[in-house]
Amino acid sequence: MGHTESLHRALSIVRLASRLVPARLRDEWRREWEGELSAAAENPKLPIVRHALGSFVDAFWIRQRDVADLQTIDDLRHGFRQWRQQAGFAITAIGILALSMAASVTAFSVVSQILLRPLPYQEPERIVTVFERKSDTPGRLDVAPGNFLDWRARATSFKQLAGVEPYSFDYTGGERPEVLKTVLVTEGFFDAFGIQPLEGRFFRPEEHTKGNNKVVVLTERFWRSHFNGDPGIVGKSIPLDDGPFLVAGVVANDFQPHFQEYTPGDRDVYAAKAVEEFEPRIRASGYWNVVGRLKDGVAIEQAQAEMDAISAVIAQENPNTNKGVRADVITLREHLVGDVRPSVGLFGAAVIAVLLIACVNVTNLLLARGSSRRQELAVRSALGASRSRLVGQLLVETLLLASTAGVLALALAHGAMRGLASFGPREVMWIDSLHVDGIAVAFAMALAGAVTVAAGLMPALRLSGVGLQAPGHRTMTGDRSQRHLRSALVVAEVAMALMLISGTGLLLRSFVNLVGVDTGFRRDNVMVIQMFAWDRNVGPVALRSYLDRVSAKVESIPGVQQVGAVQAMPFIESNIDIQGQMRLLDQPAPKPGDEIRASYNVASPSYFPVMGTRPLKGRLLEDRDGPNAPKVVVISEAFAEKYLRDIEPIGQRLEIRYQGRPAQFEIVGVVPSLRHERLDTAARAEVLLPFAQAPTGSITLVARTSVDPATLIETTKREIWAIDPMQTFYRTATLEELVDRTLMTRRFALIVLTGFAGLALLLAAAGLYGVLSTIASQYRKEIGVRMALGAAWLDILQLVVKRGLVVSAVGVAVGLVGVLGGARVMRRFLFSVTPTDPIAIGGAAILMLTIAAIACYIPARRAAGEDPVQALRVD
Amino acid sequence: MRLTYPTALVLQALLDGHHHGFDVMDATGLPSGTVYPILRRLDAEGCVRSRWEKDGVARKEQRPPRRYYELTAGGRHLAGEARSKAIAMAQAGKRLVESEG
Repeated sequence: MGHTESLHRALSIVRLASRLVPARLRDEWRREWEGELSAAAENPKLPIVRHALGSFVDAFWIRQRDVADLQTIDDLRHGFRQWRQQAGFAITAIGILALSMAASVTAFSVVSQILLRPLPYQEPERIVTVFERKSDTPGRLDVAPGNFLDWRARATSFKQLAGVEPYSFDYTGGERPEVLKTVLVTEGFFDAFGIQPLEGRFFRPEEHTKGNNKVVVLTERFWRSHFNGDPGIVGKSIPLDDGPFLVAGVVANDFQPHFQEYTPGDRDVYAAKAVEEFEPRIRASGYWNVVGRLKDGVAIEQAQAEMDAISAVIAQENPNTNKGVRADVITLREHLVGDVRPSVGLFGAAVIAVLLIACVNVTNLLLARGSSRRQELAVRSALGASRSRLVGQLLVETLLLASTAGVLALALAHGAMRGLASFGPREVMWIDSLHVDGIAVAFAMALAGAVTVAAGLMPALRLSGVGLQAPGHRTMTGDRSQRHLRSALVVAEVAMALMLISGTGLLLRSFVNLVGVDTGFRRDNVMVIQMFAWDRNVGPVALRSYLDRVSAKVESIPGVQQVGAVQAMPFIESNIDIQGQMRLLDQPAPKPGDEIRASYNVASPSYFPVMGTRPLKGRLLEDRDGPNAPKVVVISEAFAEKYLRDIEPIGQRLEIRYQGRPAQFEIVGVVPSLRHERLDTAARAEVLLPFAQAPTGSITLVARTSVDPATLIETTKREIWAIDPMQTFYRTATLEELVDRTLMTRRFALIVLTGFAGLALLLAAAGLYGVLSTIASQYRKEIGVRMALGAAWLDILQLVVKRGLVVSAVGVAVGLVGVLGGARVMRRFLFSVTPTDPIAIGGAAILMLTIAAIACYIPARRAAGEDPVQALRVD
Repeated sequence: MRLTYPTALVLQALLDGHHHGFDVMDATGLPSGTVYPILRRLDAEGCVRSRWEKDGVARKEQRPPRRYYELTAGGRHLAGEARSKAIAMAQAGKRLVESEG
């Protein structure tokens, strides 16, 4: 910015600020600032624009000190007096506003602290993740190592492109062997983020080669918990798996790349990855993540275009595995927060609705109270207060309410954010660091201002307009137009509340459907222990023997009824999904592209009874399916439906490439499809091989128990250590826990929205009640006359209730239009429910009308129960 | 009047012969939004008086005239008070540091 330009800008700022200065002091004030700025402008080093901004503080200070502003102070004092006189009104208004503002502040903080938070890396907008997309599978998929290696070799858009493989080491340096959650990273991983180590160094290029890769970088958390944060550990070795690993360095806790969905930030070590000889050939099963940094000057669209071209070439070279597979380049930020955005939109809408309802309620309260303040305002007006003065006074009173509510709201938001940090869904990054920050405070202040205008301006304008009438004078037309206005506000309130309740109803129905999904297994009383037994049990004989001994030992624990084992355990975080090509030998060869690609799994015979699975056709795997018996499999219902439609599955021969070799299996049974990842994802087309015929070291033990399974976990670990003291446990849980974890986000959303809907319902009912009470009291005379003329108690009741119900019905009708309009937006949050579900929406309408009827009935009953003589004496 | 730390700094700057608002900012390192309200308050309390720079000086330098602040007797008294308070604070701080060490 040029020198003269700076001065010019600084002078404009001062000119703007001078508006704040009372007119009689303004010229001199401006001259002083202009003099100083002009003198300062001779030194180009001085930040005169910044200095000029200080003139606002100066101007504001002068203004608040100035006599003219005693008015505001007077208004504030008056406002406090009003509160004392009508404490009930003030408490209600502040309470309503505080609750809804707290919701707004919390929602705003989630957006500002999570969605808009800059990632703590160098030029974070250049960091990308790359996923696979398949034309026949929705969503982003993990990457197969073969594909990553090709991408890295061919792409030129990236400064670094690194592969990340989830892994685990057994650490034997402590009292008990322990599993370390590990990621193996290829060259350039840390450079892609542009971070520096806390201690030591990161990996050297040569450490990513076979034989030189026994090097790890510890996470700060692990370093502190296991080595007391001793920097001396760097350069030394720690015992992992089968040998010593050199500790190269330590990475700080704030490095939480969170790019793996199920392991947010709970890793213990990073290890250098050397690509294995077989890995370039793995193209069908993705289990790696890929992170990269774009070269300077390369836009993400260019990188995407390049990856599209590369994917097409790879697909041509490997038609069997890569047909329809493409690489999806997205920024790390989008990956981290992209999925949260729609939910935040939904909550945002709910929050705004509640806030609007609250404003409408306060407007209503102000209008109602205004009727009783007319006299006071008329007197003030008669004594010479101008209309703008009266509007100002009324607005200051509302501001006082809103500011007090704002302070309370901050306290409530603090509580809400603490709650979110502790109980919110873990998958949402950074949720544990939510707090009330300066921006939240500023937002609350701005909100108080906005609420003042939204809720207070209309009543202020209307009430200040009565000044021209003589004190004590009442006009029916004024009352009527005010009644209409207040009824319109109630219509708006009811409509918004209905929309919220319908939305909540839809989510509730989704949740009920989801919990009711048939998982294919019984989830109660099952203990789950995931472990890897490859290291000390080499070969099929040793693996079979190990599982037999472990099963027998665990079965002997009191409270354990039966023990089974499986390779790919449903709902466990590190779920294994090994897919392979298969061929039905008794059927004609499929067309190219229609080959069978299914997941295969390995299970012991007792796995099925433990999980409560019964065969749909044929039989289950049994003890007779031993290593030397004919090779058999059972298939999932989803497999049968996908590949054996119109064919009797039992007796079909299936060729499976297993551990590198093709082998023939006979299908002996069909079992219900087990869901593996989440209740709302489709069941796997799965083939289950008997453990005895396909022993594996990736074992998850499942045990059906007669007592709470959680109480048996420690005993079970001890019993297994009696067989192999070096055995580590990757994950222990109850099956119920594992399923529940996947419901957490939805349950949480439901609880929050139910809270909002409840609040909305309450506020709408209160609004309705308030309006009808006023109408009823204004009609006292009419009611009195009617009753004196012989109208029955019931007639009067009907008269008032009908008025209230008409208003509510109009509100419900408007709300229904809104619900239908929002159907498209809601669809993505629902499961097995259409967004126009009549039960949820009809239920919401009935609930709303019932509450409305109750809100009408109370004032109506009061009016009808009145003594006509008393009623006629009004005024 | 309340003697805050920034107020003490402004008083000292005036005592040291800085007479214009921006010069006081330079001398104290305080932002304009802090210095001016302090000057206004000192003015209102009678601790400083202000006048406009002579027109001739400003015209010679081809800029608008600047406002000139100087301490009154009361202001000088206050500045002295601020200074002795600061010295007492510094000594107390020194003793604290020494006793810790």
